[in-house]
Amino acid sequence: MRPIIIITLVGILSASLLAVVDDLTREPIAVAKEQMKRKAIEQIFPFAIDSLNTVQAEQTTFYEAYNKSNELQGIAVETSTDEGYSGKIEVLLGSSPDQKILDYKVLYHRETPGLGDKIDKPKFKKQFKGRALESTNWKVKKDGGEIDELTAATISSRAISAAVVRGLEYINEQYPKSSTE
Amino acid sequence: MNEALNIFTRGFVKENPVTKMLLGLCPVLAVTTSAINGLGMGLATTFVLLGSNVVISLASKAIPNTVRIPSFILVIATFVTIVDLLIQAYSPELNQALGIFIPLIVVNCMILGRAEAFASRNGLWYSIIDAIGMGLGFTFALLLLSIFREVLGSGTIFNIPLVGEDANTILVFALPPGAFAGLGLIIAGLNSLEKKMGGKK
Repeated sequence: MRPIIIITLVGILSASLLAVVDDLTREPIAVAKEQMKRKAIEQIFPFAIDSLNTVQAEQTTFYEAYNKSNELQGIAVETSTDEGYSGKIEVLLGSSPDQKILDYKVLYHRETPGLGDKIDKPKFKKQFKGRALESTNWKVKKDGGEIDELTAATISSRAISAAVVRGLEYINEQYPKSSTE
Repeated sequence: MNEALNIFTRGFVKENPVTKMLLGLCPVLAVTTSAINGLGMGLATTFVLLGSNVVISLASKAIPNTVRIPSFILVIATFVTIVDLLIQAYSPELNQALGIFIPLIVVNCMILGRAEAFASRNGLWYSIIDAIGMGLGFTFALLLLSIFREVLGSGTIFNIPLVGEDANTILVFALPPGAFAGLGLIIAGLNSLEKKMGGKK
């Protein structure tokens, strides 16, 4: 009988301690997650964000960035692809209100260090700047398109292109050209 | 006091959990791709080790033998969850980098090993010293391996670039095989250093 009582006691003590810690950290964790996202959004927009409006859509989340005079300056969208070299890649894509790419940031990936992870380096990213969905052939150069693939990381490059295209499609769907003037 | 010093330094050199005992190799090999990860993992593990050693040295007399291991694991899991929550709250970047390996500290056999072999048989004071010695020894080994791998594999140190973005680095050291090779080289280096300095067999 004694072992059962003791281990039950240990369990109860552990659980109560964890309940207290969970209670104390719940708010800081939520704040930290929010800040991480905010930081990522600030990095992809080349201007100062005055206010940020989150729009929860069916498949994804949009972030509208406004300047001081309350004009829409940019739209960020969460997009992803499963076509990475080692699975899922999550990207935060930023576009201007006229649906041209400003920049993107890779939020999550498991690509090969030193090869595929260059998808998050400025040198690779800058070729996406200013591109729009319709006017670009989104295939990599190897497949006859316009995107410069990374040496020894063609699959990662294709995946990023796919994620970016999907993000632009989300934006085009959510913000049809006519309504954004 | 001499005994305390002995217990403390033992974790560093003679019984270093990584380079001598080869314990807890899962985090050692997996997270040492950058110095910050290595340091973070080392300190997180040290905290868990300290917590579990303290509680177990105090409570071990009350715990019957039949439920000893499950109780120890419960205690360790509790401290790991605390560390996990704290890192999520106060260092989200580290949380993103270490990810699943923080919860996996639970199964780091070094921690259960210290609880079983040391804390449950010694008093509070020595158990604290043992935890700090072993924890810092673990951190030291992780830091050594991760600096080695980061410099050679990615050409950076603590994320500060040492070479240009386009430079060719020895990629294999950033990949899993490089972890094994790097650890082997470090163990060999430390052993030969020890031999030279101590002159012992």
